[in-house]
Amino acid sequence: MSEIGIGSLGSILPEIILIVGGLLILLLDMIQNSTTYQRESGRGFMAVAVLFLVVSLVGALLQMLSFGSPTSQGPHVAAYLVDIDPFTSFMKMTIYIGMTLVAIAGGSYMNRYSPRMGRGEFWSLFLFTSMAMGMVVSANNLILLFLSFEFLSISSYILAGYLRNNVRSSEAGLKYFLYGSVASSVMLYGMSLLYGVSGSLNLTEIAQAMAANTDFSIVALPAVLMLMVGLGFKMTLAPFFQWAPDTYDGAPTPVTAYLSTASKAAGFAVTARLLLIGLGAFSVEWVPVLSGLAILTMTVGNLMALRQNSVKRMLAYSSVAQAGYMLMGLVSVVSASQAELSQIDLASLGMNGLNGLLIYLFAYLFTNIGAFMVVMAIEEDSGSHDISAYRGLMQRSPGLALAMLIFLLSLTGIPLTGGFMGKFYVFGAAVQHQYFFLAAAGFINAGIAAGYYLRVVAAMLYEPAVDANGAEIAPKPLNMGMALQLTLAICVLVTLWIGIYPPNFIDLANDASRHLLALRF
Amino acid sequence: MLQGYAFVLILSGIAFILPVAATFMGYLLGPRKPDAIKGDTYESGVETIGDAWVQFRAQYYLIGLIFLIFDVEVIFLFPIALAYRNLSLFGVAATITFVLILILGLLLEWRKGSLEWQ
Repeated sequence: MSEIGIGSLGSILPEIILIVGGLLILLLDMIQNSTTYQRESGRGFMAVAVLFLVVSLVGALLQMLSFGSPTSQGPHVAAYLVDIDPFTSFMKMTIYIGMTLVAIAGGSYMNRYSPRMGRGEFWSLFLFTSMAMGMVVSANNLILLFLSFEFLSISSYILAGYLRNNVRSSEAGLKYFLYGSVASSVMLYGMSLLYGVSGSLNLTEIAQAMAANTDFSIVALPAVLMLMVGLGFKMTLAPFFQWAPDTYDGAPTPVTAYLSTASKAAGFAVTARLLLIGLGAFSVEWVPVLSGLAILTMTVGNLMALRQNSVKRMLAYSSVAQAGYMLMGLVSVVSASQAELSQIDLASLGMNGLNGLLIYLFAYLFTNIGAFMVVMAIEEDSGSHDISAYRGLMQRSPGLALAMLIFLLSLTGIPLTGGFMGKFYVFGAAVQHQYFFLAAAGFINAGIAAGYYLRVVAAMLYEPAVDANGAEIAPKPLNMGMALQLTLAICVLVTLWIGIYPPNFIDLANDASRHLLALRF
Repeated sequence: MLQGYAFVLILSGIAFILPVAATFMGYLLGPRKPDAIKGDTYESGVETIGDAWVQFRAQYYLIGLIFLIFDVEVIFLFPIALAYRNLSLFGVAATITFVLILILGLLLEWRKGSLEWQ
């Protein structure tokens, strides 16, 4: 345990930058007087927010370069409460990139719809939310983990309910809040069980204490179950997903975009760290729980998505189903047969499950943010996210339609897109570790999912545009802002880039995953 | 190790049984002669005036929240005050930053008009 001093601030550098940015925006918001509120467009706040997000991204990059080189087993820097290792750096980069993209593309939407008085507050909360996500993926101490998890949840509740004059948005915020507060209190109880038996809040020390005394294994299963309530809420796993469709549907679309990607990625990172480091010795207890949740999540999510007519709601349910595939990666870290477990070196495997999860999360982030940005462009144009608003999009805006096509193909898992690489690694790991039932459930679900993704594709490409009454109308060109076009281009390029198997990126994910696995074994 | 917690289990068993037994025995043995006054909601109090569902101003909660924040701040400042002699310069700077952030919050509340009673 190192002394806390100026030097240890380096380990939370990106988060400090974000805090300073958030407070600066609050100050700027404060020094305005009421007459300038009327003229304020919110663009200035947005510019400051994007600037600070980019600077903190650079900070995270510096952290990655100084604390762990991408190709080697980097040094494991444990400050008092946070772990800065390749895994943390990978997750931080993923989350900050996602938040920056959402801020750039979603800014104009938020400034247009949010109440006149609260534009500055939105951007400072946005930065605080990013900070909480960066914190939660690096925390290796239960208290810090819970506090940053709550910080993330509470600021997300406010952002989801941000459009005060919109009933749907208020409903989204309230539902998210009610579910979230129950889920995190159950999770806290699980954490208190871990602390009660091990006498420590540090994850590594918990693992040591649990390994030292076999009596403690009684507590492992209840603790895992209760932790999974809170974590499953954040990852939108099946029994705890009911808030997701309503919240994703009602919340402002930029907020939905980050809730379904960056916030979910943070949930997966916390789960991986808690289970692999803190409870690594009890995989017998948590593997059945997780594989059951995975199958339930993907099946329920896909079956519900089939019946949706609103594309935003369909993407919400699809995001639930995608969480099920991702969870497969986490299950496949452990081999199904216990006999093999001691013989093979898991960290040396090409598909160790965890790297599949990381690749999946990264590819999914760009794909899903892109898809929600298309939803946002349509919503700004026609005020609706019903599937009929997508008809004839090919004639109205070929670029937008092609971008949506690529995102939907990637979500389906068609080769040459990022989604395929993610699925390939996750399913591959499941087969390699002999979870055949899990892989079979995944394949069947991927087939079901293609049905509802391709329905939108068919509407975009082959059906003529209609007006609100269903009568055919001439296609009207659709205009998008520069920022949105830029973000969509980035999302399309990255989705395709991951699809062609980029060696550097795969190495990065391998390195991050090996680091966490090497700690355990 | 876990056996050490057996008394918690025994105590919670007793804590469950005692009130249940008391209530049940009262129900079993006690005489019952109900009348209109006994059956009233507040048998031994003053007659109620008005509705029990009173509306509070939403602003009441706002003031409550603001109070809570500064109350918690004081709790954090006490241990710092106790350990002040042992603090490094970094510790003092961290404390000042903490207080400054909360002062910023107070300024924000004042500017946004949360402190005015409407």
